[in-house]
Amino acid sequence: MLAFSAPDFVLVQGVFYGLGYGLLALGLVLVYRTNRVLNFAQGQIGVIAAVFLVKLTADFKFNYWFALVLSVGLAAFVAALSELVLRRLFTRPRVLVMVATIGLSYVLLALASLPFIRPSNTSRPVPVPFDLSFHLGPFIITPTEVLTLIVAPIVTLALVLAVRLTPWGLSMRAMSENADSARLSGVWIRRTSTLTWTMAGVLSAFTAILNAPNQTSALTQALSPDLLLYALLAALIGAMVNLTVAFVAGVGTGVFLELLQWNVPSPAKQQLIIFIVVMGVLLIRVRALRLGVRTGDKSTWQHGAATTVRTTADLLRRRVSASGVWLVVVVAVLLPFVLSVGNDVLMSQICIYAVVALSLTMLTGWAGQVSLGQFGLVAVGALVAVHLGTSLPLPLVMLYGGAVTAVVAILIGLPALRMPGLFLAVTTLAFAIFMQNAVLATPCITIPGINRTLCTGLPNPAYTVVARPSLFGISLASQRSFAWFALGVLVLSVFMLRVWRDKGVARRLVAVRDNELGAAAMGIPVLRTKLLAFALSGFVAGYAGVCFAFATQQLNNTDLTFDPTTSFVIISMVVIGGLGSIPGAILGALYLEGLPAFFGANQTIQFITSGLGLIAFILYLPGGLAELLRRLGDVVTVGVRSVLHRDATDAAGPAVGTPALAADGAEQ
Amino acid sequence: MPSEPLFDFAVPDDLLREAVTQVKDADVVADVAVMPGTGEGKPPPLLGILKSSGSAPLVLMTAAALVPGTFGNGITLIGHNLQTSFHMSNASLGAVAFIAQVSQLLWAVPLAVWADRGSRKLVAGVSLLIFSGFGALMALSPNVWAFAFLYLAASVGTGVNNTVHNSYLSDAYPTEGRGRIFSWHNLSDPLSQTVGILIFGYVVTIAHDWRYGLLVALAGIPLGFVLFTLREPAKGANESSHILKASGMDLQTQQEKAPRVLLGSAVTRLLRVRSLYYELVAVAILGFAGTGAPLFGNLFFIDKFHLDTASRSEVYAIIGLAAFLGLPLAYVFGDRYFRKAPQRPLVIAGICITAYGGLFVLSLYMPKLWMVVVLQFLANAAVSPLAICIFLTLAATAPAEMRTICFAMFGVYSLVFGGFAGSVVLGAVSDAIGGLHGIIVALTIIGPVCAVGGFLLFLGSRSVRRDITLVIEDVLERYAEGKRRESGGALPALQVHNLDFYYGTNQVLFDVNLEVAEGEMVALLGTNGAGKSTLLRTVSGLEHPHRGVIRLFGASCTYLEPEQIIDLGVALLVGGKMTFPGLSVRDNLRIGGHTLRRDRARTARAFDEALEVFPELAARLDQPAGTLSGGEQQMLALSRVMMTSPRLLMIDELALGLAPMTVERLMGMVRRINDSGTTVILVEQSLNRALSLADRCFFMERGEIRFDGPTSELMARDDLLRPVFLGTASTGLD
Repeated sequence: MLAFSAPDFVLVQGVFYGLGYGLLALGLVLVYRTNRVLNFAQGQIGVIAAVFLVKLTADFKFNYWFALVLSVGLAAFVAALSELVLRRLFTRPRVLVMVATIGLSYVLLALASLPFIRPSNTSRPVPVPFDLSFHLGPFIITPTEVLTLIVAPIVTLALVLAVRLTPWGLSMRAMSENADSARLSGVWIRRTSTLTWTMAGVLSAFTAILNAPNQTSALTQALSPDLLLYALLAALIGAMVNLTVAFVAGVGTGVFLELLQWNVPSPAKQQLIIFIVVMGVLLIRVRALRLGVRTGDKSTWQHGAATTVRTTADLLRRRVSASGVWLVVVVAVLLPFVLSVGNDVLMSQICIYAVVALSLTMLTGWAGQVSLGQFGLVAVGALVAVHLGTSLPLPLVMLYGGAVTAVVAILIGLPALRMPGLFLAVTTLAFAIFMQNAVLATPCITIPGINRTLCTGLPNPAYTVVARPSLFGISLASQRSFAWFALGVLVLSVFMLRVWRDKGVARRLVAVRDNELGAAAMGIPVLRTKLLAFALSGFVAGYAGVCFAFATQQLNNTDLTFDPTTSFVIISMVVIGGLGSIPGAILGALYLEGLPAFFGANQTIQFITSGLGLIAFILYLPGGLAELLRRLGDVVTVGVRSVLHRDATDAAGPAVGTPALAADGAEQ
Repeated sequence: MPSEPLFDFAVPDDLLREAVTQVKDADVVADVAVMPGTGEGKPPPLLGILKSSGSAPLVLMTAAALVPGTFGNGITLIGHNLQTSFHMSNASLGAVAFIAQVSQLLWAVPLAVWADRGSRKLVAGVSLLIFSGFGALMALSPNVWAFAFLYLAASVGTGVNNTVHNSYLSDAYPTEGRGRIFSWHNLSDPLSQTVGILIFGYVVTIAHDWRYGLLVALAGIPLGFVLFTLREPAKGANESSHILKASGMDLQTQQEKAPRVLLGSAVTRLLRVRSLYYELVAVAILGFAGTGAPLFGNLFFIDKFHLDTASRSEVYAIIGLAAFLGLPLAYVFGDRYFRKAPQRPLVIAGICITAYGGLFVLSLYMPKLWMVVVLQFLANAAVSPLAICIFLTLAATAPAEMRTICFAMFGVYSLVFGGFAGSVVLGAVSDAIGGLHGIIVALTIIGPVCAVGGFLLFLGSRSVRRDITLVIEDVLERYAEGKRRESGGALPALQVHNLDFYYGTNQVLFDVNLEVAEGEMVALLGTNGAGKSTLLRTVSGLEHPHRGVIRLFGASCTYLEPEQIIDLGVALLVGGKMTFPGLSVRDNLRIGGHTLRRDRARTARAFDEALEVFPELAARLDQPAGTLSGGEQQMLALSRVMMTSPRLLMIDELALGLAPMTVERLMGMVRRINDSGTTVILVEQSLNRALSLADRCFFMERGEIRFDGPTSELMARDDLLRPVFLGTASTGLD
């Protein structure tokens, strides 16, 4: 790092990008304030408007302003429609709704590519209504930038005034605090919520239309992980409440990032600085945020996922479950015999994903902390595997990887110790991006000052081969033996989690999640319990990472393997499987990883498992696949019981003590 | 914009439990004789029914369904011509068809709401005219864009066939003939697929231009105007006259008018109809077959028998004819079975769909084309009475004033869930396996799916009599209310009749009945968990009951939302849970005056009054309400609900956690409010306070009203109080 400089055009450029982050942050805050939902689809709604604007102006030669009104209207309509679909989820755990919005963003992406919305030439730039540009030194401030600099502040000001002064703004603020009470005063909370989403849609349309000219193709995934990170950071600086602060923070973020890029040439170093700054800002803002966050916030973010520890006194029901588990285990053990090599690989992969999902089950399901970067932790484990390789016995490598990752997880979790769910989401997201772009990408770094070189990254970021070790003298080189190994790891993990669950770790985590003060009063050390959650989760993710590296046998930082979006998939697994449920995590992995692979490159199945499938799942089976499994178990139990009961009555006349669910009606 | 999510159901827990335990419906079920449409012997002949009620409604409605049906089928016929004229790809053609389907659905719901509020013949006529206008304009469309837009508008015509028409016909003809009337009306569907499409094709061939075919829509214009001349039958009149006659009541009493139907409330009420719930789940599953079978059946014929387009359309024409065989079956048996046992049509429907699934799957494995055609013909014949059977049940179990919405929900579920998911899932399976084998496997899925649907319908059939009983209860209750109004006397501020309420499967209120006169102050006593708060929440609209009626100042408001109930002059104050802690005191009061926001003068007056009564609030106007003390927050809450000057004030635990001094002051306020004429219902834990405030009280225990009378009398009822208050009541528990 040499001299720091801040030329004008860098600042202007920063402000320009920052306005985009600011607008995005405004939309996030708006929806979060009203429904306590972190809306992953916030960017994608606007993309539809931008794409449609190109279609109208380029393909149909519409007047710009008329086309603008139409396309912003379309975005508003889509946003309102989304709200109507998601509305019934608003009383459910927030993580569930968040995953539903991830699904929504996939659906919207598909929607934008419909022939009625997509222009014939998708690489055409979004038009600009005037041709006004400035020279600033050797650089040109383009018409788009001029437009953004004018429009974004106006939109923001209008929105802030609307929230402060109009009945809608007041209703919105009231309903977010106490919905029932607001309804009793005649506030139509559903309409208010729809209206809020409509506004967020308009906002999103402006964001996309102003920002789109920077992108090569109009059809992009709008909320890429790093964009999400910056917008979330800005929103969090505004405590998810204050629109003005969030907007200004967004602009600040933009300027900061541009200056960083101008002054620090190495992308890895940039990422490191960004990560440190994110953590630092959150740590500094913690106190202010704590005051700013509303009283009900914590409970609504986390409530509802209390089905972690469910025991039944019914012996028969337990036996049914146990037989089911044994049956599945036996089938799974026999499976590699009949599978092809490709499917053996798939099986290993599903098992490992299931273990990662289990690590998140603990963290999100039990402890109520949302991690958007669980795969960053997996990457730590994978790096341990790369560096230790076959030098140590495999179990030791796994333990070591788990331990290292547990320490890292605790460090990332520190700012979240005093803050509810969302904050860990931001730090983990920042961490995942940092892992992919900085740590994995840099083979060795030289620590300035002491001049020691530290080699933590992938030796060859583009292509690093990992040799498979053997386990107790048995080679794992063949895909079949590795599938058995992965299955063994999964079974052990499930066993371990069950012990933690039954020995009260889970109970303590849930207690702290649901009522910190109450838990403390009962003698549960709150701080230690939270740290334990991070550590355990990190440990499991870490040794899963070790297995992951050995399973894939080659790692790189460029493809999607360690992309933060993979972490979104993991959280979707946990939700689809059933928040907080152990079998749920496995079922979720099976569903999201197994089904698409089984059906190959089938687009429809991918469509089902992503997007619409995700939404439909959450809407109509909020308990997840685990819920389905539980009901199946209930049905089987009742069936078995009626058979047993009938046998008993046949053998010994009328039975004494009729079971709770008698089959008396069956004869009638 | 609908105020309630339309697609509001989750896979029901009780559905599975019932399936498993096979427990018969435990609810009290009304005598079959009281149920409309039932009776001894054979149903009266249709000719007689037509003679007495006129044949014009049936003929005109059938024609009104035939025109858009023909039009829609015609467009699929000229799909290829459209592609050449507009240079469309297959995908674009599919997109246009998709838009038409979706827009049909989008039209159906608002039109149903309109129809349930007003005149159905008007809605039917207007939508037919709109259809005709836009449909004919489609002939002139210069590009696909205009074509799609006009099609979207024109599909308003098809959106009403199974909703508004059915609802109209249900009331236009006596219940005894409904099955046959529906059968006739439904005949328009196979007719449009055969005769209609022939005419359409003929016109197109003669004119050598597909555009002329679209002019078929013009036939709707005279028809639409003729529809206006029809008589609009009163909603539910047939049912209520049957019920009243069967229960020995006179028919002269002027009945209370049904409340204005809102979509949200209607959906809430309709989802309380248990059999409808099963029907919706079943129909979602059936839509799966309904969309998948033709879509992939086409591919099946191409791949297995190498049929070209012409032969395929011949095959489908033959299979389509089966409806002419199936509908007469429904015609003959529908009414007859319903007459004997109203649940039976639904059982038949279950059998129909199961048979369809079986025959259809069997046909897939036949070696010869003729065998396939025969089996699919039989399958189609088996399934065609299905709609009639379900329509019969729907018409009988839905309250008359929301019948159209009920029919519309039916369509939404079948298309959105079944149709959409069906094509996606079948497509995925067939692609995954690939080739002819894949298509056959995908289509085979339809068999078990139909069996599940049939089983669900069978399960639903067991709730039909209970659901009709609820309708009968509604009618009788309304009748009793009408009688009471006739006899004069003041209307009570609040009437609660036969109220049941469940949280999930946990029943909280059991047959609650109470009345509160206007201007009265009553106390509602009971221990924690007795159901007091739930009762008040139900009255205020925050929860909706599962059975029973709530009236406020004579207006029925059982399923209204709290946002509407406040406009009736009703306010609920929940102790300790009313303030918005993050908003300033001023904003809290502004929310209190939310419904007055158009009347600035009144808002300002109410604002000043509130501050006058509680001056301590005036000093803290800009402070967040969360920083006020408990007593001040309660004052703020009270002044907030008083902003709208309600006629009925319900207070749930005014004294919760407050010092006696503060309580005294607030109680004084409440007394003054009551003196000014406002009716007050006060939930209280303390008997003494209740005694000092209210002359009359209700005592609740475990969800039931156990005592209703003077408070002083309750004090003497040790049998009620001792178990609850451990005998301290008589010594003055506070």
